[in-house]
Amino acid sequence: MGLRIQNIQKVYPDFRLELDFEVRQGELLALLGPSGCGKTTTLRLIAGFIDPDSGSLHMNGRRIDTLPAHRRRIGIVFQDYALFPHLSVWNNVGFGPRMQGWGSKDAKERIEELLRLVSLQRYGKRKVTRLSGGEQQRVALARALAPRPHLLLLDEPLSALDAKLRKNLRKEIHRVQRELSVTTLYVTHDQEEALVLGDRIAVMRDGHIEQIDTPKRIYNRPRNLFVGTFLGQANIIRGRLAEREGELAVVQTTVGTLRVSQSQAEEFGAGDEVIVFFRPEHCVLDRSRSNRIKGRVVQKEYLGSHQLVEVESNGARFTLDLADRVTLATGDTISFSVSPHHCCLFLQ
Amino acid sequence: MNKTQIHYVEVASMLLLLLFATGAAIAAPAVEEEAELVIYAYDSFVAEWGPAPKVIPKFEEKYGVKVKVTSVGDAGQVLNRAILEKDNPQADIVLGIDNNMLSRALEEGVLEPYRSPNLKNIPEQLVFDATHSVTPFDYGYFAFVYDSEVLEDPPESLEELADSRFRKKIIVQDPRTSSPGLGFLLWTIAVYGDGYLEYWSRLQPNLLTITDGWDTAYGMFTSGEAPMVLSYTTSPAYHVEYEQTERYRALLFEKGNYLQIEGMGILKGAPHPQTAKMFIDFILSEDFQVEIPLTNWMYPVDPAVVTPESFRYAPKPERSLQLSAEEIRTNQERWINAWVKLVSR
Amino acid sequence: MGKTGQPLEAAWTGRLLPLLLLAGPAFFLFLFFYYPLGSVLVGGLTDQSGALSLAVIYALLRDPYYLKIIGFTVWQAILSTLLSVLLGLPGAYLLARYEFRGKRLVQALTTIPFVLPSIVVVLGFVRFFGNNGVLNRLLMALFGLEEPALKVLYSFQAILLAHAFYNFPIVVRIVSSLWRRIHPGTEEAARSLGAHGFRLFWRVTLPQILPGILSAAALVFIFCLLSFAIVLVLGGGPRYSTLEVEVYRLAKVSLDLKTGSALALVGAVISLVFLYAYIKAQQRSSFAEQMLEDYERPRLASMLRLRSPRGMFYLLYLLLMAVVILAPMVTVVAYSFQVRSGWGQQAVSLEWYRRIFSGGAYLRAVLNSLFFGAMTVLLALPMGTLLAYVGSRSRFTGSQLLQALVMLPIGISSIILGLGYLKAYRNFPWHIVGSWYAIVFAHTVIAYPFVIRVTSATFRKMKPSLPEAARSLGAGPWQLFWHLELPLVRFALITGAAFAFGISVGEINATLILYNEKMITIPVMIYRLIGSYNFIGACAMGSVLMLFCFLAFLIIDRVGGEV
Repeated sequence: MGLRIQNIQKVYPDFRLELDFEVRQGELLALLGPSGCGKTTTLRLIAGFIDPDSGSLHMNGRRIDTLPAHRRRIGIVFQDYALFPHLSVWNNVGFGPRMQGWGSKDAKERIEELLRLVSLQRYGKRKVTRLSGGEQQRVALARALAPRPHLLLLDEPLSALDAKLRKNLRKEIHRVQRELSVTTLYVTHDQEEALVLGDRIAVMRDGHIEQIDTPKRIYNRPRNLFVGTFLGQANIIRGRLAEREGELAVVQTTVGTLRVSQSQAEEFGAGDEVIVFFRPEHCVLDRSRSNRIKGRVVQKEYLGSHQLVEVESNGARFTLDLADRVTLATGDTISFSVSPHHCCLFLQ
Repeated sequence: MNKTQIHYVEVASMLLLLLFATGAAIAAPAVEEEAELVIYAYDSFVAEWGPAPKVIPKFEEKYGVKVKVTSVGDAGQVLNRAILEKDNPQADIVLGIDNNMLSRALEEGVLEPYRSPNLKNIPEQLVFDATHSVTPFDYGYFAFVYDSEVLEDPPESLEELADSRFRKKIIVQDPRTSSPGLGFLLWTIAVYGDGYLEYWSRLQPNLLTITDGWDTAYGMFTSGEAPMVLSYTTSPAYHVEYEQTERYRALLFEKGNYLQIEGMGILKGAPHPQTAKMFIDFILSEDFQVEIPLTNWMYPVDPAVVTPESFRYAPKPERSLQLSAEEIRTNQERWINAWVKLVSR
Repeated sequence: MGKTGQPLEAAWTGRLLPLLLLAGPAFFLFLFFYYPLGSVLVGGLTDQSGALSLAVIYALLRDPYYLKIIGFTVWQAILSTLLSVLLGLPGAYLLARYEFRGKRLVQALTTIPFVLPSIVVVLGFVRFFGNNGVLNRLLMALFGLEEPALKVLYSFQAILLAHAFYNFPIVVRIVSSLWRRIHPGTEEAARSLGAHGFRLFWRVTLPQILPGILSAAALVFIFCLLSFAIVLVLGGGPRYSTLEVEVYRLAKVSLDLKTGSALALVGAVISLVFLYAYIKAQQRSSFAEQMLEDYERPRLASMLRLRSPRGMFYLLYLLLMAVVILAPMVTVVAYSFQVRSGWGQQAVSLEWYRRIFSGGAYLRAVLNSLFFGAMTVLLALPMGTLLAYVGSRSRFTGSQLLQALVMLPIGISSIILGLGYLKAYRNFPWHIVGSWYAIVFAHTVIAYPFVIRVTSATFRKMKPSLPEAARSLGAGPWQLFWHLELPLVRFALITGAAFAFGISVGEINATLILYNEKMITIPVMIYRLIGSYNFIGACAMGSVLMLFCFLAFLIIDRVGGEV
């Protein structure tokens, strides 16, 4: 059940889209990636505005890629909202039910229900052109949900809003999606949104999906360097895999010998050129013996509840996320370490 | 009704009207009584204030025949239409062929000769077509008409017309598109022979503009754009008759004015040849001729018809100039091309 | 946009539907435009024996006289276009940047000359700018002159001026539509960076409004290229002659056009090239408009009240435009309130209006014109809208060329069209020529490209996400058209209808060839009145005509919305 994208391929002169994944019933899958990676194309394929070259789409078990766009029962919230300027809020929301032939009583009830859901109960008669950005976004959401779609697609719906509004509306969308349990695909380039909203995240690059997983696992166990560096901040250092020590892989780097927990090191062999990866918040200032790196503080960023400290060591740069009570000055020499279990290993 | 409903009604009514219109268009045949005589005439003949409303009913009553008169533009276009429909004539009579167009009409072979017995009432020199393919019905003289309130010493000859004191004070017409225009060109050729181009080059600075037709030219003249215009000797009569003013006067030149005789002919292959012949007889009768002066502003060919008072102001020149039909036909194109070349410089 | 552009078929279920929809207009156009057109133009493509040959065109292009004509035609069109654009830019700026009461009224007024029959335009010009016109008489009285001060008519300058003044409202319309959407923010940003005055305009504003300027220029160029009556009358004679004037002359000499057809063909090809350019420019312009939104703007009055050089400049500009555009029309109207009484005197009187409205031929002409106008709207509006819709949604290669071909009637003189009907249908059993529907069809053919122009601009301006949103909500192709696109172009439809109506009531050339006594229209009546010394009557009928056109364009004002 839910949305199944099966071996979809779409070839362009300079670009190739290859997808095979699913959006589970009731979940919100965040499709995350840099601009140009094909997220919007994916959306348009699912919606039916473009045809794939091969492959198939299934919704709740039924094949939909053979259906025209207007019969797929998919609700879309566009980046520019695409509200119908000649219709009022009420008629915008009621457009879907009307097109799909609902009875007037059912439609009326449904519209009221949705307006309440997005907290716009008294806005019915308003002209959409007179609404603020946030209000328009909510109307767009209500409109997309009104005809009870099987799938909800959101195309960077918050990118046109300011930061505070974005946070508020993010909460709204989250709440609405939960309440209605509608299968949702949420396209964004904002990793924070993806982390907050997604039940799962699919990271996309150059037309294919790099990794699809829960936010926690994607964050802590990225499959490759791209995923790791795309989400959150990362520290990386190149090195060569020297040998195995039981569970650990031993890597020689310019800042010393680093050990990475085996669960991460399985695919590699001795002599491989690798990259060691770990998060700033996993760096600790104690002198435990594993993976100690010594360097000089070059920059500090005070962020209120914590601080980011940039350390330079033998040509390599690291960012440490430390509590604010630690006092450091630029130029200080410090040593920090990171547990092998917090490290990831990637091939170069 | 709310906005959307109004919208529906609008569109629906438009579609209905569209359906009705297309339906009507397809279904409606050309519902018209079959006419027993069809005449192609020039515009001012057919107009409300022209001869047709006066003479046609007379004919219809006299002969019990239904007549349809169609205007197809000016005299030149009447002939053109006849030529276009040569293989399948839609009309019986073509009206407006003058002495300058005769040879073209004859050459195209669109006319059927008919010698009306009533021709005996008409002076010989006005019967300009020996084959009787064209029968004359009125005539006039081209003349320069001037505004006496503005111009105090008008010219008395073509030569004087080119005098520098008339710089940019004369309006004439283009011979390619206007019969007075052509008439004037032929007039200068009649007077100057091959030296006409030289004359025109002297005349040119005096021309305010060369219009495509008489209407535009005369309109500018009465608007006061220039005090002299090429028109007819009968033009002043109009102003006397309807405006009670003698301010506009026609000039008779020393060497004479150029003559225009208008005629009509029966088309070869006409659907109703018998009625057509009756009409030709009719135009030479008093019933028709008496209406000509005050509706067509030309002289009737029948000398017995008395012209109205106002025609005292339409002087008849002592000498009338004319070029022969053959001469015109042979040389017209060459003359006009040379003229065009000169004035386009 | 490239990756997500949609070919026509993906937007519709099957390919059958658009083809079916287009069948009606295509059939109509074939019968009543392309076929008659072909019958005339074929004359230029056959030699004496009737075989297909390029001999006539060849001879034409070798003849120095005609080469000169073609060259002059293009030259005066270029200059006129430049002048129109220059004159139009300040007006476009004012319209785009300021609000003032009666804005739409002004736009309605300034559009009238565009649809007036040539004879009325010329009449007004002569009566106002002529040697004995209102302007000169005023100047002579003011300065005690003997000779007229402004001898501007019957010359090359007269042609340029008349073209500029009658076409610059188009420039104002098209450019201001784009300009009004350009947010002053870009200019403010530039100013903060040190740009100002002309440099600001040149580097910041101009590039943004350029698509609009190009689109307007292409259109104005075509109109000036095909200009007929203005050149004929105001040019002063054979010295300044254009393609259309020559075609007119040749048609008068003989209806079997050889050289005339070849000339018309050359004109049509040049027009086609510029129509293509226009369509491309318009697409870019609409795309730009799509991206931008409307915003609040200050009142004009406040700007003009400033005693700044800028305020003065614009005030003078407005005065000049008002005088020159309106004056000829006002003169015609004013002259109509007279009657020529005895002794050549003129007295103020409503005599002619009494005559017109008390029945008889004059009233019949008025009613006929209204009838034909209504019928033209009924035919041209659906046809034009449909073609515009399909055109704006299709993206196959060659679609732009096809669109240019569909707009071709703009590039063909109505004289040729009328002649085409004559030639094509002379041997038909049912008498098309002389029937009322021939006139309606001719008017429709002449008017529908303007409907296309107005409505397609609006279709194109529509953000593509709107139809996509509608489709995702369940709207099939027909529902899409009916519930979304049609309502959105509603204002354009009304504008298109007004234009179609205006063009129909003002049409003279084709009507003159096709009419008969029962079907006289106002322009034909005017023509006749002039032909019989009745200038007051002609002006009265002309005033009635102007009133109808004005009312038609005023309806756009009532309905509101963008013009």
